[in-house]
Amino acid sequence: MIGSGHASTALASKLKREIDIRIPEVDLLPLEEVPGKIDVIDEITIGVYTEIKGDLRGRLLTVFSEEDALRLEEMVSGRSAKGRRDFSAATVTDVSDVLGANSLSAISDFFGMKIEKTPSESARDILGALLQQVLLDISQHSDVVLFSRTEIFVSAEKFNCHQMLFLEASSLEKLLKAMDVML
Amino acid sequence: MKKRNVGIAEMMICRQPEVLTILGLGSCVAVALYHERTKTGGLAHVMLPKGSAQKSSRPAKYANIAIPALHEKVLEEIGGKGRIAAKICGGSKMFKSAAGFHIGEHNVTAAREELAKLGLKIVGEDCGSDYGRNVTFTPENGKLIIRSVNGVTLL
Repeated sequence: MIGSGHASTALASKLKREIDIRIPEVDLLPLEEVPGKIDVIDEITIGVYTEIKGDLRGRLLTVFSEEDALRLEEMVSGRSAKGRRDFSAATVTDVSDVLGANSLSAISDFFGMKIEKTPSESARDILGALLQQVLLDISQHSDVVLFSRTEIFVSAEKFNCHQMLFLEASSLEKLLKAMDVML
Repeated sequence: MKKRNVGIAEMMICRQPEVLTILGLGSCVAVALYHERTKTGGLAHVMLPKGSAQKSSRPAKYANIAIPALHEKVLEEIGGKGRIAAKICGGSKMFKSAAGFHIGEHNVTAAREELAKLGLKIVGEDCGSDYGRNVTFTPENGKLIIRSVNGVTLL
C-alpha cells in the first residue's frame, strides 16, 4: 500500500523493532459481506476507531488481540506487562494513529486530497460488534464499502494487528477521478 | 447439538434440539420469535430499520422486511396458527465518538414497531448500552443466552 514504507519506519522507531507491513487486500463489497471476510468475529479484541473526513470519508478500525495489546505496551514502555490484564488505551491508540496517519497522508499527498481524522477512541469488546459500528456508520451514506485490511508484522513475528480502512462509495469515485486526471 | 450461526442480514428457522447463534452483535438487532408448544423458533440478524427488498440479496437486512418474513416462516413451520412470542437484543453504540444519530436505537425502535404491527408481544429485551453481544437462542425454551464483556445475561 502507498505509505506502508513510511508507516513501518515511524512505527519501527516507536517500537525499536523491525516492522513489516504486508500489502493489504482491497475489496469493494456490499456492507453486509464485510464480516464474512474476517475469520473470527466473536472474540474479545482491542479496537481503535477513527473517523475520516474531508475529501475522503470513512472509518479506520485497528484491532489487536488482548495479548498483543499488552505486548505492544511492553515494546513501547520497555517494561514488563506481565501480570497485567488491562491494556493501555494510550499505547494502542498511539500505534494505530501512527499507522493510520501514514497511510492517509500518503494517499492525500499522492492524490492531492485533504483528509482529516477525528481523535481516536479505543474499546475492549467483541470484534464483530466493533465492526458493526463501522458498517452501520457507513450505511448512512453508502451501501457498499471500499475495504482494505493490512496485517502488521513486528520483527518477522506475526503480530495479530489488523488495520482496516473503510471508505464510502463517494470516496471511491473521487479516487478514480483523481487517477483519471493524473493519467 | 446442532448449532448454526445467523450472519448479518440473515434469518433462520430452527426446532428443538437445534440452537442458533449470532456472533458479534453490535448496533444490529437480533429478533427471536418462538412458539412454545412446538418448541420451534426463528432468529433474524437485522442490520437497518428500513429499506426495500431489491436493495439487498439478503433476506434480513431491513427490519420492515425481515420481521414480517420471519413471522411468516415461523407460522408456516408450526402449521399456520399459534401464539408466538418475541425477544429482542442488540442495538448498542460501541464508540462514543461515532458520529451521527444512534443507529442502534433506531434499529430497536423499528423492531418494536414491526412486532407491534404483527401483534407479537415482546417478552424479553436486552437492548442498547455500549457493549457487544454473542447470542445463543434455544427454541426448546425460548431462552436467549447473551454473553458480553460484562458477563452473561439470561433472557
